[in-house]
This record gives sequence, C-alpha cells and structure tokens, in this order.
Amino acid sequence: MTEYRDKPTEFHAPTPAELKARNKRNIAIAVALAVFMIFVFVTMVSRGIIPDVHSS
Amino acid sequence: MDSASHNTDIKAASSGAAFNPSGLSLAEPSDFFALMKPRVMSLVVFTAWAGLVLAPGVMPLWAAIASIICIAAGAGASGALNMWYDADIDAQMSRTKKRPIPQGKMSPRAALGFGTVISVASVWMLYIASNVVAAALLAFTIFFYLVIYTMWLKRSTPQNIVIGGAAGAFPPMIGWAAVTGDITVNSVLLFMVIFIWTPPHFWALALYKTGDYGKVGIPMMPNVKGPKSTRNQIMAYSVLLAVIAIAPIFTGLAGNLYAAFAVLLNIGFLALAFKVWKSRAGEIAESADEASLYEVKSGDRAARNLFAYSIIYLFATFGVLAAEALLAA
Repeated sequence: MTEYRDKPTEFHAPTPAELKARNKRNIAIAVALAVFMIFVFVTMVSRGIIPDVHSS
Repeated sequence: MDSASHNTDIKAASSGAAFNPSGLSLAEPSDFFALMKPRVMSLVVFTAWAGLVLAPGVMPLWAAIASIICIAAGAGASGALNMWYDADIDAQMSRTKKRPIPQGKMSPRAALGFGTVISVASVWMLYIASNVVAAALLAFTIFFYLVIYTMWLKRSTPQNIVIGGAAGAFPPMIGWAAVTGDITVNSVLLFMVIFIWTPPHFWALALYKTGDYGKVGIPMMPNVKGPKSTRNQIMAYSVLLAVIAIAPIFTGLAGNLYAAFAVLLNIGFLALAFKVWKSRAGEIAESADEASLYEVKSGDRAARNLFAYSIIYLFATFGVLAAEALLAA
C-alpha cells in the first residue's frame, strides 16, 4: 500500500465540465505548439537563418 | 484604489479557494483568446499592416506576414497582462465584468502566465522575422501598456489615456521599422495620428460611461474635470488631429487621393466633435444599457456618435494611406 508523507484528507473529483474544458485546453496547447514550431522554422528559412538546401 | 487592497484582491482571486475544489478551471481556449482583446487586436493588425505597406523598401512576403502575426500576438499579450492586473476593477464594471477572470473561468495567475509567455515569444519571433529595432519597439510597447499605463497612469491621473495612448499608437511604427529597421519622421507621423486620435475617442466613450469608471475609482477626465471640460478638450484634440492627419501630404507620405479623403474624414470628425462640444453629453446620470458600448440616452447621443465614427475614421485614414501606397507601387 502506498504511504504518503503528507496524507491527503480530502479528494475532489473533477466534474465532467472541468474535464471537458481541460481536454480542450490540452488540444489547443498541442496545436499551438505545433503551429509555433512550424512558424519558427518557416520564418528562419525565409530569413536565411536556416539554409534552404533545396534552393541551392 | 490603493495598491495594498489591489494586491489583496488579486491574491483572493488567484487562490485555490476562489475556484473549483478539484483545482481544475473551466477556462476554454476561447477564453484565452478573449484575454487578448480581439477587437483591439484587429485595429493593431490593420495599422501595423499599413505601416508595413507605407514604409519604403521591400520585405519578403512570409517575413511580412510573420511580423504582423508577432505584432498582433504582442498586442494580445499586453491585453492579457492588462486583464491580469485589472481583474479587481473589471469585476465591478458593467463593460468588463463578463471577461474570463471576473467570471471565475480562470485565475489571474493563468492570465499572467499566458500573457508573459506570449509577450516573450512575440518579441523574440519579431526579432527573427524582421530586426532588432522592431522587436525592441514591440517590447517597449508591451512594457508601456502594462507598467506605464495599466499599473501607473490608469488609476492615478485623468491624463491616463492621453499618455497611455502611446501604447496603441506604436503598431504602425513597429510595422514600418520591421521593413526599414529605423524610425523616421513619417513613421512618427503615423504614431502621432493614433496618439492624438486616442483622447477624443476614449473621452467620447467616457462621457456616456462616466458612472462605470467612477464607481471603481478610475480617474477618467469626465469624473475628475467634469463633462464640460472634457467636451472642450475633445474639441481641442479634434482640431489638433485634423492638423496632424493632413501632415502626411506635406511630408511626401501621401498624395492627392489621401488628401481628398483626409479632408472629408476630418470635416466629419470635427463636425461630430462640435456636436459633442455643444451638447450636454456626460451630464446625465447613467447610460441606457450599462453593458452596451453604443446604447445611450438621448443627451449622450452626440458622444456615442463621435465614438463610433472615430473607429471608422481611423480604419479609413490608414486604409486610404495604404491603398494609395499600393496603387503607386
């Protein structure tokens, strides 16, 4: 059995609405990070910071 | 409102006790988008684009698009930081009480984190997409809006939006700097148009939203100096705006097309400002619908009309400037 140093005394189960909102936030963060990485990459290539090997 | 009670309010709102027992918030992605003040962002995007188009020189298409996205994100980030700091007063004002923090959908701390991350990312990305001058101007704009305007001027002086208006005036200058990497007379002129436009725009709104600002202790001009003094100052700034708005014709930034539109647009602005000056706007107890930006009692109609027209005026001024530059190109 698991032993806790500070034993929790009270648990609050998240409501379905809270879980749904968290799920939406998780998806938004994932999409935003992916878009941001692509954005950084394309910008760096367009500025010549990362050389575009296909154009040379 | 003193800073101690402000800090207490922020702490109370951001403590776990103010939110759901599970510790999870109900904030959805749309609430984070609302933090960025999309309506303000649209004006920022438009004026930044105009600055970019008007600047001499060329910029790769993707770098231009990336620069505008960064400027918009920076503006949105400063909006989120503004909502973090102003959470206490937003909850009491009819115009702002439906924002995500006052509604209890997210903690002020979440808005602070969101705003900080987007601020850093937007400044860094603007540096990558354009140059250090544009990035530095964007960083200064965010700092100016959060620290100089929101934290300092807004709650301490009726000149808050006169000086604080500089934050909203920087985007065309940043757009210009993204292309040229410098600050010139013409980019300062674009800045000045928005800077001088801001007082009559906001004071027209404040004239029929006097009670809203007054009950949270924000020293807007009508509350401090009275409606008559505010109407006088609106008239004075409108005359100054007309002078500034025609200046691009003489500096070579604009040509005949803009000259014709500028005359018409400024006649319209001056006529509506004159109607406000002659009216008793701001002297009626409260507006018809507190939550609406445009619903007013009959005595405040002149102020409402000037407020609505001023938005069209700014879009039209920068739109014609940019259109003329594009036609010439």
